[in-house]
Amino acid sequence: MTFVRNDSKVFHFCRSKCHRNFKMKRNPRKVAWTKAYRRAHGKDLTEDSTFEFERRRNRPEKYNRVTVQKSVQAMKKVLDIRKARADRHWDNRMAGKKKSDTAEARKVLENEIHLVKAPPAQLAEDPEGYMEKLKVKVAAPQSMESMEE
Amino acid sequence: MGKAPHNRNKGTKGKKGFKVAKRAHFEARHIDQVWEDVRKEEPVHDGTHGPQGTTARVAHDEDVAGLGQFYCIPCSKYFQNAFSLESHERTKPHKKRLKVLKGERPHSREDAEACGGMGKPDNGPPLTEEIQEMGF
Repeated sequence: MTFVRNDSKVFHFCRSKCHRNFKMKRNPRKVAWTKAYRRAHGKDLTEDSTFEFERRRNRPEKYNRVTVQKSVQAMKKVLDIRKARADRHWDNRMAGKKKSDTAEARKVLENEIHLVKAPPAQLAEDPEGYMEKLKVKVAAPQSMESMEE
Repeated sequence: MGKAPHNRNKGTKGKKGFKVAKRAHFEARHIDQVWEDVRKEEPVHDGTHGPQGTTARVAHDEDVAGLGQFYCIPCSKYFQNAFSLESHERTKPHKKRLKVLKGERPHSREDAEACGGMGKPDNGPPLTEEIQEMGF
C-alpha cells in the first residue's frame, strides 16, 4: 500500500492496519505493537552489525553470476547470525523473569490465601499467627491537650 | 488520542460540514513537516505566504480565514485576526503541540527501515565535479 503526500513524499505501508493508524496520525513510537516501539523501548535488538548488509542501494551494479551466488550464500549466513543474536538479546532480557514471577506469585498466594483455605480453618490451624495478621497499624492517639486547642 | 478536555461537551455548535472537515484533514500539514517548519531559519509564514506544500497561501486569499494573514506555524492553522491567534496560543492543544515539536525528529521512512533491520541507503560514491558540470 502506497500513499503519496502532496509534497511528493512517498509512504509505504505493510498492511492496511498500518495505513489506518497513519491516517489517525498516531506516533508509531507510542503504539506498542510496532517495530518502532519495540526498538525504542529496548525490546528488540538494536545497533547490530548485521543490519548493515541489507540496504537500499541507489546505484547500478553490473550483473555478475559469481557475486550473485556469493550474495545468496551470505544472506543465509547473515540471517542465522542475526537470529542467534536476537535470541541472545531475548535471553538477556528475560534473565530475571522467572525469579520475579515466582516472587509475585508467592505474594498473591499470601494475600489471597482465604480463597484456598477458609478463614476458620486458618484460625484453627494457627490461632496466634492468624490473629497477628488481622492486626492493623494505627497512628498513635492524639493527646487530649492537643485536641482541646 | 481522544479529545482535549476543554473541547468536550461542545455538542454540534462548532461542527463543520463533512466535506470541509475532510478537506481540512487532508490539507493539514503532518507533524514531520511542521517539525521542520519550526526549525527553519527563514520564517515559514511571513503574513503573506504560507509554507510550501499543503497549505501555501497568499495574503488576501478569500478562501482562508483572516485572508491568510494570521497563521500558527506549530498547529498549521489560519486565524481570523491577531486576537484569536493570540488566544489560541494560550490554549492547551497548542502548548501540547509545542512540547511534541520540541522533542526528537518524528518517525520517518529511514527509521522504519532501520526498525526492519535495514542499514542506511547506499547512494554510491559522490559524483565527480566533471559529471556534475555535465548535469547528470
